[in-house]
Amino acid sequence: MALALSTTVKLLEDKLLSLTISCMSVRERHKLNPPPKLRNPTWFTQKNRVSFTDPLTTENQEFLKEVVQDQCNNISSEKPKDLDVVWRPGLQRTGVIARKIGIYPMWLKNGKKISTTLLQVLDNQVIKYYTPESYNPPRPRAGRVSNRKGCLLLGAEQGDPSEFTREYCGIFKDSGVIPKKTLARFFVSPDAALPPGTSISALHFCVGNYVDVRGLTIDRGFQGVMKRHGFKGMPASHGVTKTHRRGGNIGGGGEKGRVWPGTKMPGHMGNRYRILRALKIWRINTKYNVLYVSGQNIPGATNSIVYIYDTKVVTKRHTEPVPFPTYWGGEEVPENIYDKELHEFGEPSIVFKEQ
Amino acid sequence: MLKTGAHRPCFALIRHFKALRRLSTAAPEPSEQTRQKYEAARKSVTDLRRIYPEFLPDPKIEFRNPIREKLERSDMIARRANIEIPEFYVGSILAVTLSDPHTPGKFNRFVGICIKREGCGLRSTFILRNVIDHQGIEILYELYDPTIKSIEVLRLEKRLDGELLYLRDALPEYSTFDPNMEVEILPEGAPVPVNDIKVKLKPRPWVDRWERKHLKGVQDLELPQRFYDKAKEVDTPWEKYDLMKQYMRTIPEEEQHEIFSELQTHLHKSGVTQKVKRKRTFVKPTKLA
Amino acid sequence: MAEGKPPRCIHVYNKTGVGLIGDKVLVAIKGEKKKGILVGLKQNQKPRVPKFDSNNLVLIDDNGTPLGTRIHVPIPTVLRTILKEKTFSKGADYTKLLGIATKFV
Repeated sequence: MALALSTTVKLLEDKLLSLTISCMSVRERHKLNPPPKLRNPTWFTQKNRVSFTDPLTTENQEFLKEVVQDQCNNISSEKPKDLDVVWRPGLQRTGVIARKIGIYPMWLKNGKKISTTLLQVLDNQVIKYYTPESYNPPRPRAGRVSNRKGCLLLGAEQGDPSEFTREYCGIFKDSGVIPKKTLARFFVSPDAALPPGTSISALHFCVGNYVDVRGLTIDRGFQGVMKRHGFKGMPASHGVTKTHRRGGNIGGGGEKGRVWPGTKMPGHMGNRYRILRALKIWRINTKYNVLYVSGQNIPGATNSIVYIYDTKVVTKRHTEPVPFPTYWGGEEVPENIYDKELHEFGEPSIVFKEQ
Repeated sequence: MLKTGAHRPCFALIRHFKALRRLSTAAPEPSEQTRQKYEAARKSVTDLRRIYPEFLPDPKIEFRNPIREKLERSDMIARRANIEIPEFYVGSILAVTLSDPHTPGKFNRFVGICIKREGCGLRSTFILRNVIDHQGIEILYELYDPTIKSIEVLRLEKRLDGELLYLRDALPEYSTFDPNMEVEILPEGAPVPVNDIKVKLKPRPWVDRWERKHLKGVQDLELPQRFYDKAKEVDTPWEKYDLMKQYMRTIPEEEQHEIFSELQTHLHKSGVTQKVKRKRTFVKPTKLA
Repeated sequence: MAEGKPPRCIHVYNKTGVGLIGDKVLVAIKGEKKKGILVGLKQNQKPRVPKFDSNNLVLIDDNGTPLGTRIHVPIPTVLRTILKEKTFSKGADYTKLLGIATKFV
């Protein structure tokens, strides 16, 4: 029987649908019809341009720099007049891009020594704000509740526009910000949206707050099982043959007589994003925009970029008002702000008194 | 050892390295006046490098960051404004008084010879050793610990070695110092005296292989020849000629100059000068180690 | 026979087998088993805690009372807080040995 093309197509579609529905309850369903694996996310743009050494004189080079500066707007750190939002618990504000600059010991007033990491908040500026409806994540998860948070795009570390591609510079066109080297997304409540061009400094955070720090761990390359998973290895002597740092047994026998997926084996270690939760801010240096955060195991090497935001740990969230949506400035702040329990180096020596 | 710049490359090499760093701009030849000025500045830097070795940061390039070093230095100077951390070397006898959290209200005083000095910045530490009631005791102190009430130098002197860890294997008389010792004051402007005492070690077993360490402050070890042969096999005499290694382990001279000039301005501001106590004449010590 | 030998630690009353300052240990001394408290260690210590050239021990009985009458060797002051905590948690009074000590470092 000769059927119309549209009906054939529809029949085929129904059959395909029935096949997919019947396969819903199959094990390893994600392997049957895998979603396409994109090499780059949808928002990816090529960043660096092939640089040519232009045969310009030094005067002309300086003139070009001035032109670039004039085209871009000044950094606005004043509060926009129509922005009148008051903080209430449950709202999420932006994070900040920072650089890990080193580790330093500090002492508390009870004589205890703590290790603090210095995180320098770079020259962050807001580049774009995506409303919850317009934000399109690179891998949309099916069956999720619609996104209630907006997305703020922040940039840090001013760069030379001549080094970047036109596509990359196009990201900064609307905001008028000079193209930045680092970009980052932070999810915010719609109340905490900021206008493009707003700058964010270290005073966005308060001393005594708890933060989460996300960084890229040090790349350790291909590592064995002892370093990667903390296995104990085998004795160095007493007749042990050719097995000192190996993993030993990798599975049992019987019905499930195979190596289970996820078995710990040697492999590439490091170069992954890891988040350290609920780190306390002990001190803020306003001159260099540095946060002193507890802990010496922040992911990443010294001079690497980290992303800081208010902690998600329920017991350590701030209960008092914080600069919302961000710190606007205008007040006289001391060069260093210390936590109450921290001993300042300028104070006299600690003396333990009798109770 | 190399970190404090004890084996700096000579002036010609410094200029060579400076040229390497600034390839694009060729600096003109310095005139005689500027050279003299540079020499004078360099001498003051050399002095301060010996007195305040913890101000030099860790030379490993991966850990260096100019802003963190600046902040660390300002904190160190702020601490020094509260307590006088004096000039001392390995081999000097110090008295440290600190507030003990385990005995509130009382201060603990410990007198000992400095056998090791380590660390840079706020982490710098030193170990004091003394023998009390026939028991050898060593305590590690952090220079910038806020519970320390005072650090006094009872006898300022240097020894022939950079570390005196061999005192653990030496006869106890070389590590015994009177806890009630008085301050021995040197005449102003005098160079730091070098004590060239040769210590006698106890018979083996020892804590470490002292025959491999090229110690100058020890008497003849009186070991069988096979120990010295093995030490020669294991020795690395070429290391002192490795200029690149030395260069990587030292802070460049321009940066040292910056660091110590910053320190000097702060010291002048706060009125703390290096040699404050050496005003009275030399008093012969009554009790010796 | 066993008289000339120095005391030897045979058991450490600790979750880890490593004894730290203030830990109770079982010691074989003169052919007998006795308990003692570690009072000084050759191990490298934290800042401000003294390190001794020999491992020192004070013999005690099960109640924590020391068997001797005086301790001639100096004792670290950290023991005051450590032994006080131990006394509260264990039930036996370990702070008595602080009374017979002559010198604190």
